Amino acid sequence: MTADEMIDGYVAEVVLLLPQRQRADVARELRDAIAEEVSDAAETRSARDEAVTAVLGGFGRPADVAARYRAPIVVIDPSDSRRLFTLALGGAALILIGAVLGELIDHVPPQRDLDAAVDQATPWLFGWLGVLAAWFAITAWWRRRRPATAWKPRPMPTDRISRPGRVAALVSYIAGTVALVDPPAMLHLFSGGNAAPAAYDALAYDSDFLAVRGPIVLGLLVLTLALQAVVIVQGRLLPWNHTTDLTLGLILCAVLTWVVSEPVFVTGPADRTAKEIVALLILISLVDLAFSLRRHRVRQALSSR
Amino acid sequence: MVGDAHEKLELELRRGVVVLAVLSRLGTLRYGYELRQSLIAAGMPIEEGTLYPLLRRLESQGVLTSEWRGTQGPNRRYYVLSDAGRDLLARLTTTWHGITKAMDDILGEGGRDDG
Repeated sequence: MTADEMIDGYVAEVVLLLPQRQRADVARELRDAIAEEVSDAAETRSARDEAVTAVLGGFGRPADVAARYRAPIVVIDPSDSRRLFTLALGGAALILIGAVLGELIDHVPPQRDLDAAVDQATPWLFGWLGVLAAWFAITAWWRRRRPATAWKPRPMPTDRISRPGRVAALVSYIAGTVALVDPPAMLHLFSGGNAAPAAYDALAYDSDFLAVRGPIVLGLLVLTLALQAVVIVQGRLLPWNHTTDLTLGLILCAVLTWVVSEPVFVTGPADRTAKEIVALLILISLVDLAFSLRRHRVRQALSSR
Repeated sequence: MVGDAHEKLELELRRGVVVLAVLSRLGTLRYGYELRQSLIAAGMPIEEGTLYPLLRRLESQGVLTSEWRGTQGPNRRYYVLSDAGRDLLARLTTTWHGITKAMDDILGEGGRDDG
């Protein structure tokens, strides 16, 4: 390639990235400018090719030069980048975990194929990234159209708790746990003994579940309830509560994942429905744990004055 | 690391003043290459890939006007301040003097603090 061809190629790459109406004018000016710089540089170099290479290197990448001709188009605000990155990673993790849980529910070994389930989740991953990109782009566009007025204060995360709220939650958790211990008894209680026999049969636990997984889940649930009761007595969250909540929450999610990987109820429809509800609870719990951890870190930062 | 930081921060400082430097040299008609050489001679080098797009952006903002001329040599695009550009230059110059005075005071205080 000759020196002139290099210059033309460079100029072509720049103007191709510019609006049609600017191209001819910019191409002419840029080519002349490069030519003048080259003739200047050629005085200190043996070959014109070398001078052209040096001058074009000084101009920079054609895409960068072209970008400088116009105000940059900001699709996503730089201030949103970190949040976008966090949501992208968090959402991707949830989608993959959801895919694994779905496969654990849908198939038993040897038909179970977790790798294939993860592969099948790929379109959802791209879909999630697309939704995020579109959402942040629309947000950025809207923000530019209507710049925010003044910053408005929001309630800060604190360690204080609402005792009545916690007590109400604890009571409902205890009721739920009792219901899980003996579902047919609960059905009898609520139906007044008028439920069909098939309904009672549907709520019979699998014997393997009752032997191992059931007691472990029950033990973890009771431990969680006991810790909630302690928090109510304390009247506020202490540092050890965050650590135990996080640890216990992760252990519970792992155990529940193990639970859905094998039969829970004897009948198929009840088993599937229960597992789907448990899978949903796992995903919600993971989101809740992530937000709790974030709030805890903010509280820690605020209290480190 | 500190060397990298120095380069980046110096580049940012220069970026901040490059528009003012360019405007200050365009009271009379100049073309790009001539303007760049003039800035280099004055101790304010500016990359070629930055200068030409900047001239076009300033023109599109109404700060500069331009025309192709070739009366005494090759045909070149010449730039000069518009009326709005002269007004802008005056205002930016005032701002610049305010900044340099403030910075001189701040840096002077810093020197005294060190002592």
